[in-house]
Amino acid sequence: MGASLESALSNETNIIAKWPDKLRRPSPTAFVGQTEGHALESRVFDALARAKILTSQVAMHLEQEFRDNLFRQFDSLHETDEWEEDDEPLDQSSFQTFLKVILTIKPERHPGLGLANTGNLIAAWTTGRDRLTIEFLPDDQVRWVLSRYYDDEPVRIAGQMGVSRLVEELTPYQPDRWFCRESKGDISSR
Amino acid sequence: MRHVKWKLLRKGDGGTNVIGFLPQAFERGPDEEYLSVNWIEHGEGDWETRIRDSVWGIRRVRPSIGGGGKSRYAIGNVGKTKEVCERNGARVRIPHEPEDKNLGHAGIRRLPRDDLTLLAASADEVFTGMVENVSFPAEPPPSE
Repeated sequence: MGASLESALSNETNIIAKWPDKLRRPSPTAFVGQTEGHALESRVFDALARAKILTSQVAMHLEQEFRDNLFRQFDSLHETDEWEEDDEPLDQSSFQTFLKVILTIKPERHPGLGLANTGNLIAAWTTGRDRLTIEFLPDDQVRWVLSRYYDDEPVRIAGQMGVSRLVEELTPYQPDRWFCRESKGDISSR
Repeated sequence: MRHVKWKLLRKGDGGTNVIGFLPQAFERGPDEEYLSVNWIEHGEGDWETRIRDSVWGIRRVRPSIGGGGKSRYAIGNVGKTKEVCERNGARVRIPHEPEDKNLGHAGIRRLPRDDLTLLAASADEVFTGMVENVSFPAEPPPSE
């Protein structure tokens, strides 16, 4: 579309007019197989794109700040400079499980994220020495471990279960100490 | 000492700063017989030199680590490893397993693969030291 025509149309019409151009551009997956580096970058690009699409479907339930932080951490986790053969980008099913957990517990504090070699997303909340780590498995399953200190003695509990049972299982360990902002830095029971 | 990728480092709120290691950093892969580590004391020289030589040994075997990036090395004590594992019901062995390009290589054997409480204890109590990969220079090429 010529520059003169562009200026004559509304912004919305210009956006719609550019859709066919985007479709004509080759997708990252079109390069798979050219080189190992390109294949890895394509897989990472696709995984991140899928995560962003999934997030957009529940965006109305997530604060903008949370989404921005999520994507910033995803980009950081997927920097491929140091990736090795066995590294997998974010697994879509694991991310779906993550979203379900986040929408269930609605944490005020944004977790520090990690990525298992299998592509499972990991979320970590830390309050002093007390730690909660949740690995999000495919098909609405979670694998978690917590460390809590009582009188300087660590107690560690781990479990694996469906998302629907997670909150109930964590309740005895006062999970607000990890999820609520006012608990950050609380050292009363350390 | 064990190399830990950026994605397996424990970060504080919002992922802004590194505060330790995730339990999964010490999880054996499905095809790994043992958890791969380096025996720092195997080398010669002072402590800093031995750590640097271990870093170079690991990089020789895994060149993708390179000299940059954001990965770290977790440093733990052999005695503490055995103590924590035994407390969690695992009697591990840590034999020297030299490799051609990494003579200080060792392995933690009999470490249960997916015992998350033990892996968390390893992250919290055993591997309490940390150095950054980027803080070590590239190894000079071998002299003719």
